[in-house]
Amino acid sequence: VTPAHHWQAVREALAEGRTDVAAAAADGVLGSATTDPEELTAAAFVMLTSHACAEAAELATRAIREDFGCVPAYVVLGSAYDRLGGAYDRSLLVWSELIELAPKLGVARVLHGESLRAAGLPGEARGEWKRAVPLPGGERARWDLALLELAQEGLVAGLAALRGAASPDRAEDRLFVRALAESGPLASGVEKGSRKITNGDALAATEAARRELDQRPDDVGALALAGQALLQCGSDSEALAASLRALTLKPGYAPALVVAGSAFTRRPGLAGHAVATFEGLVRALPSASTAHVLLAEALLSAGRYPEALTAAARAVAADPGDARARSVLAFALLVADRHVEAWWHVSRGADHELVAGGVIWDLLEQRQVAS
Amino acid sequence: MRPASEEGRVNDEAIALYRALVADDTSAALAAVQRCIATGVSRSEVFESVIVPALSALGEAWAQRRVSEDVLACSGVAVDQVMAFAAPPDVAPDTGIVVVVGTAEGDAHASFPTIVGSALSLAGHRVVDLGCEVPDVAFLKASDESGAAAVVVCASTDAAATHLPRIARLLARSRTGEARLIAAGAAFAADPGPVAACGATLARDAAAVSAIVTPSAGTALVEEPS
Repeated sequence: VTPAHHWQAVREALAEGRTDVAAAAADGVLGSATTDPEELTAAAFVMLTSHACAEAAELATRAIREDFGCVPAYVVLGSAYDRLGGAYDRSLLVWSELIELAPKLGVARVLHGESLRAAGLPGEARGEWKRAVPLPGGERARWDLALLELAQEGLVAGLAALRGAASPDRAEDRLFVRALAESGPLASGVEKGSRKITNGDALAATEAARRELDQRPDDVGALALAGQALLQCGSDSEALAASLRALTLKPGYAPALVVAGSAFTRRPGLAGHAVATFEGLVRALPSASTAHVLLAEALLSAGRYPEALTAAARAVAADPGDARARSVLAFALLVADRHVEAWWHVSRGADHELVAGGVIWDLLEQRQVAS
Repeated sequence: MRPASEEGRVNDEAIALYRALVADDTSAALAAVQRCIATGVSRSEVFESVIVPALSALGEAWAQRRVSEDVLACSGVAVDQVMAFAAPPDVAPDTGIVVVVGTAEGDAHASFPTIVGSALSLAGHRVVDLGCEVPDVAFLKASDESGAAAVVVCASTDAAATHLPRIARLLARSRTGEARLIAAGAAFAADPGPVAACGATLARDAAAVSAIVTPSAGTALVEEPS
């Protein structure tokens, strides 16, 4: 196995849950005299996932010494310093150098912002997160900004920022498609239309729903599909009409609850109705993290903070890698003056992004392609 | 349970609203909702019993091609208008209750009092936000000047929490002497002993502060100073 392929084997071992194999490989690299930056970075990353932050920092530093342009090694090094604690001066330096090296790497700016906030520089963190939002990989910054808004400006601004952060998120679309798939047999047109929802092609989805409704005007699946497509187009009232018709025909129909609840949250003063709708959704889809997140967000808007905390905690339990769930939980924890726990969840969100999101492997692959 | 006559009237208004939406007649739609509100039906019930059935009927008519895509799209404008009447505002109506909020000296964390203050504002209370690192006597001064019904002392550090007994003694000398002392924040939640000792009420989070300050149904509101 050549060094260039060695880290691929480590990646596969990690993905298959054979952490012992990956850790043994990383140990081997630590004791070796290898000068291959990719191999060193992969080993550093394995150390980081094993919480061996000092070893991760050592290996990543070796990778950077071999190649000052090794972007993934900077990400591992900065994360290792952040996790070590009390090393903000070093982590901030690493993130700054990385941003000079890869100014369009969104994840670097998000992590830099999180280091700046932890170091007591919220103004600088805000600037960095704002720069991260439009960049690929910088989506998580929207949630960080909402938390900062809450901490600095209070609930009104914080809730508005939370709603703003949620609006471009496609999680509701994915939840709708899942709810539709789990709600029983579907007409073929509705099934095809739901795929259009996933692709964000609202017009095609509306047309599919319309064709189905011309055949069967009382098809609840087609009514809900029309509602979700109209919601994607920003036609909230029309979406509400279609979803309420579906709920009249079949009370508690999960896909229609997704549409109706989302439409309620977009209108001021209807938070209470959104809560009641999403409570029904959670009963229908108890294992769906996004359903709990939507309920938690509605509860926050309704001023029912302790219940929001419980719902957000359930969302994180359902999917620990859901950054939105972590952020909503952090929001509810900040309202309860539990700052340490709140920011702990933000950093766990970052960990999941690095590990499950495959950021490091993607960056290593990009280097391989470039070379 | 509503009397049958009222039930019938609400149903009639739901039908009237549906017809107004189909006819793209915003003023008729508003009139249907306003008639309901004028007869004492709550906003929540107007939403549940008038707007929801009317929208559902509109969805049915669209699905059956009894109304066109254009009519459905145009109805959105009227729906926006009637929703504004039926939906309660996000911020509760003014209660007239004044609450002083601040963090005691020894604590530079401003976020918790900011969150507490905004939660109280959303609940309709008038908030005097003193910020952080507030001298003890400033709580008394603000309370006397504003005629506050409650003073919320926040503390996330032990150093700040030690100021509570002195603030309690100062408030006891208040000219109005009516302000209720509330201790909020992590430091008091971790060690509630001194809170009870000085006659304060412990609130573990922003929601608890709001619940303590908000009067229960039937309690008279604090009158505005003349």
